[in-house]
This record gives sequence, structure tokens and C-alpha cells, in this order.
Amino acid sequence: MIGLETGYGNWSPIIWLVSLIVIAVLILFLRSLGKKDYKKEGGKDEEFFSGNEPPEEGFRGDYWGFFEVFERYYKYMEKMHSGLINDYMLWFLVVLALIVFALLVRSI
Amino acid sequence: MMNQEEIKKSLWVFHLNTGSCNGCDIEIVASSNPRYDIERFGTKIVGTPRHADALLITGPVTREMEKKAKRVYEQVPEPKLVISVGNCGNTGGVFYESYNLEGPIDKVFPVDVYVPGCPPRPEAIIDGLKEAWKILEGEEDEG
Ligand code: SF4
Repeated sequence: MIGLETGYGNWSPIIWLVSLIVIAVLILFLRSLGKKDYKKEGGKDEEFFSGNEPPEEGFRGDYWGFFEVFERYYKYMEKMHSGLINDYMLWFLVVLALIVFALLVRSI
Repeated sequence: MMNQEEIKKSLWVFHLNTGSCNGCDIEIVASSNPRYDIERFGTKIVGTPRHADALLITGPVTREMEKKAKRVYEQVPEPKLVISVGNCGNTGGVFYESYNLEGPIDKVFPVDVYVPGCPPRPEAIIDGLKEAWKILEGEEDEG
């Protein structure tokens, strides 16, 4: 049988496939129970935003208030998180150097 | 008196405050506590109008709230009901003829059940829910 048998358990792609099919059938069945005449107008398919229209630009999910309040902090932090591994390594080295320096100062 | 066995479907409500003094809102909270426990009838207060069968509205609809209330009303899927809880929503109540009112609620959108009182007792709210449930079930049977 295709799969993986380890001392901790087994993994088989067939079981995964069968489970996914069962889940998909279940989802489609539940979906088919829904009302067919559901109308989307009047903002029914938009986010519920306490009765306000959801902002078109910059809508960042349920945490919008959080982002709004901490906007300056996030902008600052985003600059640091460039996504470049070199930058992260630099941060790592700088912090490591600071820790080593602090330990050295303490031990003197 | 309605039997618990008669309730085959649950009525989910969304609570919206359109400018009440909070008295009615506290009574709605009281009706969901273990003493009155509307959940034993299957009624649940949901967090979004998109999951609700009915709106449980308190307050007389202030000018600021009119547009928002209309939007919330629009977001409830059909068939929907509006239950006005308290004299403010029914008639304007103590805020009657205030410069800042767009309500009472039935001036903004149709109301199906009126629950009188300032504030109404939880028993009255439960009675209102029962009436709403009856209307909705009747509609479903016809449709
Ligand atoms: S009806 Fe009475 S208790 Fe309810 S919101 Fe109005 S003033 Fe307050």
C-alpha cells in the first residue's frame, strides 16, 4: 500500500483523498439545503460593519479599528519587516551583539 | 400558551440599539440570562444581521442611526421580521417630538411586533418573540 508507516502512526494518501471527498460531499449537501431564493442586494453580501458601509480602500477585516489606532506603529514596524533574509540576519546579529555586550559588561 | 415541543425551528435575533436609554437593552440581556433563558425556546442573539431571522430593535431611531438602521435591516435575509422593544421604538416614548428623531421605528421600516413597556419586562419580550415566531412560521407554511 502507498503510504508511510512509522513507529508513531501511518499516513496514506488514499485515506486523505477519501476523507476530502467525504468532506466535499458533506459541504455540498449542506449548501444544497440553503435557500435558493436568497437575494444579495442591499449589502447582504458585504461585511457587517455595524450598519456602516465598509470602507472601499484599506479595509483590513475585523481588526480595522486596531490597525487604525496603531497605524503609526504599524507603518514603523512594516519598514523593519522588509522580507529580505539579509535584513533579518542583520537584526539577528545586532541583537546577538547587544546581548553578548550586556553579558560581558555584567561579568566585568 | 405555546408548548416547547411545538417549536420546530429556532428564531435567531439580532439586537440593534437605535438610540435607547439602555433600559430596554438591559431587559433583553436579562431575558437571555438563566432566569428567563430565551435559549430554551431556541432563540439566540446573534452577532450579525446576516445570521438573523428577526431584528430586536430598541430606541426611537435617532437621526444619526437612521441610515445605519436601514442598512442593518437590509442585511437581514428574507423572510425577516422586526420586533420593536419598548415604548421609544413603538411611539417615540419619552423622546416623542424630539428634534433629533427620525423614528419611531415604523416610520423607518415596517415593524411586525410591538412590545410595549418602558422598559418591557423579559416576559413581555419573550411574548414578542413568540408572536414573531408565529408570524414567521405562518409565512413559511404558506410559502
Ligand atoms: S422604552 Fe424606556 S427603557 Fe426603553 S429605551 Fe425607551 S426610555 Fe429607555
